[in-house]
Order: sequence, then structure tokens, then C-alpha cells
Amino acid sequence: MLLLGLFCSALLVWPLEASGRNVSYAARVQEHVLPNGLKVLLLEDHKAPVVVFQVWYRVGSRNEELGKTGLSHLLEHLMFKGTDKRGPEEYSRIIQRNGGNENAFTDTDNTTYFATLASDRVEVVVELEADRMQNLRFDDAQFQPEHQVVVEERRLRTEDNPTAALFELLAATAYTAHPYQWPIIGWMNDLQKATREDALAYYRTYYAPNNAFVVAVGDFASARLLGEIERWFGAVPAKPAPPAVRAQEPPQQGERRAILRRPAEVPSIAIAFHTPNLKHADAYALEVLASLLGDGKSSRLYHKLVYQQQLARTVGSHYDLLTIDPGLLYVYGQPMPGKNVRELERALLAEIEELQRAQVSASELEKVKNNLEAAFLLAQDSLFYQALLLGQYEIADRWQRLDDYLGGIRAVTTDQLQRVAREYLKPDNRTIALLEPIPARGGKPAPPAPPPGLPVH
Amino acid sequence: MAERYRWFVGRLAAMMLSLSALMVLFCANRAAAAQLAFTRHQLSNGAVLLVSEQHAVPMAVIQILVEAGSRRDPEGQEGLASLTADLLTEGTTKRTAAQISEETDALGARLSSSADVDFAQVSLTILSKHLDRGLGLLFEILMQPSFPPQEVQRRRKAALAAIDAEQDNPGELAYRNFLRLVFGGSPYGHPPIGERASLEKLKRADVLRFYRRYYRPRGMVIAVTGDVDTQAMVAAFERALANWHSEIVPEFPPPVVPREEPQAVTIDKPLTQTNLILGHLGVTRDNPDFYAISVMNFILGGGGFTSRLVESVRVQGGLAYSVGSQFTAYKSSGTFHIAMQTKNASAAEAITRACAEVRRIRSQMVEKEELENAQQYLTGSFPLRLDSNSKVATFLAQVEFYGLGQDYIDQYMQRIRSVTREDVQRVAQRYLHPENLHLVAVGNLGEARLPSPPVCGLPQ
Repeated sequence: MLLLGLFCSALLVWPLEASGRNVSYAARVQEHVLPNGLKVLLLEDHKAPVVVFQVWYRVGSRNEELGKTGLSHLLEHLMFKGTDKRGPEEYSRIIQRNGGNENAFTDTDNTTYFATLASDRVEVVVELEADRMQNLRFDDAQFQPEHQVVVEERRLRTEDNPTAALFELLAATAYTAHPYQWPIIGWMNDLQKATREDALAYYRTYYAPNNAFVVAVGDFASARLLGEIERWFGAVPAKPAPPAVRAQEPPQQGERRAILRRPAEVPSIAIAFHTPNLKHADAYALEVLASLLGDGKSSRLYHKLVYQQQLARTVGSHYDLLTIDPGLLYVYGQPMPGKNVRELERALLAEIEELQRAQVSASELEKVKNNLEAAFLLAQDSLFYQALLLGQYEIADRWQRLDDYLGGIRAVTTDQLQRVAREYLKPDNRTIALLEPIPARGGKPAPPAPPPGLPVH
Repeated sequence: MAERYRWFVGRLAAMMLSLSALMVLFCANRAAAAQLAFTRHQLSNGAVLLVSEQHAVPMAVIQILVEAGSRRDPEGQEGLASLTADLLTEGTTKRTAAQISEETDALGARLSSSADVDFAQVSLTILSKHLDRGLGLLFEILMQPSFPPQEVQRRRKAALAAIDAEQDNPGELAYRNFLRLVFGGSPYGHPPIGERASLEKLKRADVLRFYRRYYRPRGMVIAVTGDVDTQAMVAAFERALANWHSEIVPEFPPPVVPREEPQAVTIDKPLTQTNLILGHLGVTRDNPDFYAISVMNFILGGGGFTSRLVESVRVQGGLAYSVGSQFTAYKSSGTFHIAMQTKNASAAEAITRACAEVRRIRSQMVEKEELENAQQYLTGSFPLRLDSNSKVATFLAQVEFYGLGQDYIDQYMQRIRSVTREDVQRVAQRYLHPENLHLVAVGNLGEARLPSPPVCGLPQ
């Protein structure tokens, strides 16, 4: 038996696009909840004979503890190692044989498994995902090499990547009491000491239909796909609710600084401010603020620091709109050769002070809103991205909040922008991390390239 | 531009650094083929326009390919094609760089221009309600760029800075050195961004000369997909390009590449992993064996999580997160390479395992099941390659650019399906040369005990 799909109409009146397409998600998405607590979101989109199928588990690095960081992601890898019915990597082989692509990713708040298949093959993945939701199985022979693979992944992504290492340090400094302080992939020590038992215990705690939801977007008939989902997932038993994350970051009272000195070629800087997220009334103003700072070549940071002053090689901004617990607003950059990273720091902070000092013009605000609105609409080009958005909103709050986005952005005023700039981007609320390269120990210069062979005419 | 600060930790990052989209394995089935309705129009000045109406989303994607990629860089001017393409959006006879950025962002459009190896591309993604203004901007940057002197200097410095930053990206650094090993000083021997020494010397006059020589409607390919009207598009492009004169673009002489003596380039850096590339010369895109090679390489190292290289190096060995092989087929040349990263101490073991797989696919026929898997994936995944406007635009543009024919989808299906186990072994023997593999290694050389070439040993 099912709960009826919730067809709540959006609060705002939606302009129909010229094509007559309704852009409201509430009008297009069907929601169902199975008796075992598994929520199902179905969005039919028939523009291509393809279906994106995703399973979202409500567990990520946020649910971990010190000494055992990185378990969510390690388990993500192990989820491909087989079940009672299937051998290692068989999941991948079956999807591939059916012309599909599959992969997975882990974030702070969720672990997501996804496959994209031609429409007539979607049943294949439904059955596979239901199987591994409850019957995961791997022994030491599979655990050991995969464990090493994840350690190699950390080397690749972080140990040997100075910018990634800097962002890791930034989060570890900005947060004192909340699990967002550690990296999703985990600290190297924790990762190396993780055991097969750790991963299995984690699986038993968090992988259950009542701690997950399914998102499907694409070319399917909802009734039929729902039937398949009920058939395969319906029998997966619910589990006790996993332990809640109680941690809360206390307000920051004073600037924090972190310096990373390591071998690297190019210095860089990253600054983070504690901000509320989607659940707070200031979220859309912060979204507009981050976009005004860093989206596009006419944005403040790019236009002034990269283009006009030629002080920065790269700049950027990012706002954590979609997180369960309050996240950060970031600005960051790399100086041009010969420019000092401290000079870039001053310039970045000057741009922020400018937002606190002077109101943004109506025309600039309009430009930023148009840009955000277009990005939101252009996202509908991709089935995968639509599924990703639904999942991210559902994780952060409720998927229905997607329909508030355009109205929320439109409603932001210049007064509000100035107010949130003053309130959240203040010195006492910021953490500044600097990457200061040191010469490689005994680093020999690269040998010259070998001489070309024959002359080229 | 800004980089995303945050990456998801995923099971697999992009398999390989691919500087060319040519290994995008186009494939098809009947159902999908029916989905891709498009029309082809030869414009009066020689350009080819492809239009695919897709009205589901109120947007359009326009992709323009010009035969002005980095292979056209004159010797000693490496990076010129890329600099020229970059500068298209940095000023026209009517607008400054800042005005172009303002207009683009105000429309919420995505406008970009860059040089790949075989072609330069200009692309626009825009909401259909702004299509006319977007087209105006597109025509302007394509036909009336002004290359302001200060912008030339700025972009040149930005390219130099990007080359500096490669030092912090071992994979990029390795790939640059690999190209140099395979192609020497010939036109394919450098990444599009160019080289420090050549960029130091480039002048505005060089850019102007390059632009006038290669940015021509003849041979240009324009793909338009989305919420558009075909006839209106044909008329708009006819009208806009009418006065753009067309001369014959100079022929591209096939590059002379150095004789293949396997060599090694090793770069010492204080890294925890050694980034490895093993590879040699490959094939051109028009090689009749291209399809058999696609199947063979899929089994060897191109096929995601199920390839032999992944099975040996990652699944069994636990040595690397990312490992794969690729044939990159250009218009006039190509490469084969294996790329992986592993902790310094296991570099030699990873090389040994990779060599073993290259030898095995040459010496023994692949299993029937492996062949079928490859064929089923390559043909069955076709719809996935065309499920968005941007993918369709890329597909149409490249099929036209490489002259693959309007029935390419059907042809591809047949060719992939007709590959036999004998074909796989034949192309493995013909196009893989373990005794000739060059080696590039970027890592801690003190910890990595690397073999000297030939890294896979002598012929067995």
C-alpha cells in the first residue's frame, strides 16, 4: 500500500515558459513513500530515451567521528564488492552490459549511487540497488585492495594537490565542534586504520530504506517504474533510525588564520565565513552575494582582480546553500606570478568591504539575478543534474524547496545584500587560510625535454 | 576562470586526461537514431550548418568548430591557436572585453572560445528568449574580433601563468612531456596552451595573421540544437556570414614524427605518488581499424570499471585509484597511452602489471564474453551520449568535422558489431608495441625505482 503522491502546488504563480513548459517541480515530480520508509521521487522527462536512477543514503562524513573519519566514502567503494547473490564488480559489469554508466559519490551529508541507462533497461538497476541495500558482502580479499585504492585516492586528491590540501585546512580551522571540520575522504591516519569491521558496522547502521530515498528522472512511465521499485525495494526491511548528529558549531568570535607551508609552485588563499543555509531567510541573499562576487567574467572578483588589476590568476566564490547544518561562504584565489598572496588577500577583503560600504546598483543586481535564473533553467538540459538537484534539496531540507528558488532570488533587494554582507562577512566571522609554497627539498629542476627527433618542415 | 573549490569524493574521477574529444565513442541503436532528427545545410560561403530541433527545454546550444586548432601552431609559436581563440571574447570592433562579459552575464548565457588540437571551438548556451541577442554576440566575436593590444598581453600572461601552475598538477605535467616524447617538435607535440618559450615571444601581429589565415567559413562547422526554428537558423547564419569572404585554408601536411625509440622522461618532485604515462604513436581518426581498436581498447583499459587494466592494477593490486588506456585519434595523427598514479614505492609494480596486460591482449585472444560486453556497451550506451542539447551539439559538430557521414550512427553500430575476437587480436598486435612504450614519470624518484626503457622489456 502506498501513501498518495503529494501534489502540492507551489506558493508562487509560475510563469509558463514560452514553450508552454511548466517549470515548477511540484507540478512535475511524484513523491511516494513505501511502507518501509523509502521515499521515491519520480520526474518524467521524455526528451531522450534515457533514465537516470539514483539512490541517496542520508549518511556522509557528517555522521562520522574523529578517529574513524572517511568511513562513509570507504563504504561507498565497498558497495561495489558484491552481495550474497553477486560477485565483486558484478554490479558494474551488469550495468555496462546493458549499455549503462554507473558511479557514486560521497558528500558531507549523503552518499549517492547512480546509474544512467537507456529507458528500456531501467529495471536492471532497480533490482541491483535493492539487493545491495540489504545484502552487501565482501571479505578481506576484496576489502584489502579496495582499502588501498581509497588511500591512493586520498594521495591523488589531497596529499599531492596543494589547493585541495589548503581547503582541507580551511575547514579544519573554521569548524571547531562540528564534523564539517574533517575532509569527506577522511584524515589519512583514520583512513589507513579503518577495518573491514568498521565498514560493515557502518553499513548495518546507516543503509536502510528508511534512511534513503530514490530519485528517477527521465523517460519512463511513473506507474510502471513505481511498480518495479515497490517490487524490489518493498521487501527490504526497515531498521531503527540511525543516531542523530547532535553537534552544533558555536558562533565564531574573532578571525582565525591558518598557514599551510609545503612544497608547491603557486601560492593560494581561501577565506571562509560561517553562514546559514537554505533553512534560513537570508539564504537567497547569500546565494546572490556569492554569485555577484564570483560567477562569470563580469563578476566583481574576476573583473577587478583578474581582469583589471591582473593580480589574480584565478578567483572564485562558493556558498553552501544545500547543507543539513550551516555551512560556509568561500572566496578564494591564486595570485599571478610575481604577485604576493598577501596582496591578493587584501584585495579580496577590500571587495567584501565594498559590499558592506556601498549598495549594489539595481542594474548589477538585475544582472546577477538573470544569471542565476538562467543557470537554474539551463540545468534542465541535463537529466542527471535535475536528479542531483532534487536529491540535494531533499537532503538539505525538502525537494519541494526547489520551487522557492527563483522567487527567492528575485525577491532579494539591495538593502538585504548590504545587510547580509555586514552581518556574515565580518572579520570576526572569517577564517583565512594561506598556502605558502616552500622550495622542494632536494627538488631537482625537471630535466630538459629530449631533443626532437627529425627536423620538421 | 574560477575553479570549483569542492569536489565530491567519488568512486572514480575522470578516467583520463583527454585533450581531445575524439575518443568519445559514438554509438547508436535504432531507437536512439530515430531520436536524433537533424538537418544539414551547406551555406553559400562554404560553412556547414547542422540543426537539431529539441523543444523540451527553452534553450539553445550553438557550437562552432573552425579548423584552427593547435596543430596549426607555426613552429616556434606554440600556443598561438589557443591565444587567438581565447581572444575572440576579449574585444570586437563594437564592444570591449568588459562589455562582452557584461552582456553575456546579463543574458545568463555561457559563451566560450578555446582551441583544441584539431579545431578551435566557439560555443554559446542560452535561453531561447535571448537567442537573437546571443547570436548577435556570437557573430561579432567570430567575425569582428579586434584583438586589442592590452588584451593580447593579458591573455598571453594568463597562459604563461597557467603553464607555471602546471607544476602543481603532476598529471598535466606528465602529459605535456608525453606529447613531446611522441611527437618531438612537430605540431602535435605540445598541448594547445603552448610553451613558455614560444608564448614569451608571441605578438599581436602573430595573432592577427593566424586569425586571418584560419578563421574562414569554408570548412567551418556550426551545430545548433534546442528550442529553435530550422529555417530561421539557416536564414540567420546565411545572412550573418554572407560577407565573410572565404579563401581556401592551407592544407595541413602530415606531421613528421621522430622515429620511435622508447625513451623515458622522469621528473623529480616531492610527491606521495608517481604519475605514470606509458605510450606511443597511435592512429588517425580515419583509420579503418578505428572501430576494432575502440573495442580492443575498451577491453584493455578504456572500459570503466571492468577493463583489464582496472582489474589488475586497481581491483586486484590495490595500486591505483585511476588507471586506464586511451587511443586519442586526431585528424592527421594520434597517440596511445596508459595513465595511472600510484604511491612511489609501487610504481615499478604498476608498470609491470600494465605491461603484462598489453602483452596479454596481443598474445591471446580475448574471451567471447569480454568481446560481447564491449560491443553491448559501446552500442547500447548510445542514447546516453545524446541526452542533452549540449551533448547533441558536440556530437553533430564532430561527426561533420571529421567527415564521418550522415549515416554515421548506423555505420558505427554495424562496425562495432562486426568486430571479431580475431580482429581484436590483430589490431592489438598491429597498434600496441610494448617494446616501444615511452615512459613519463612525475614523482619522488628516490622512492620510485623505475625501470629504464624499454620499460616492458624486450620483445618476447
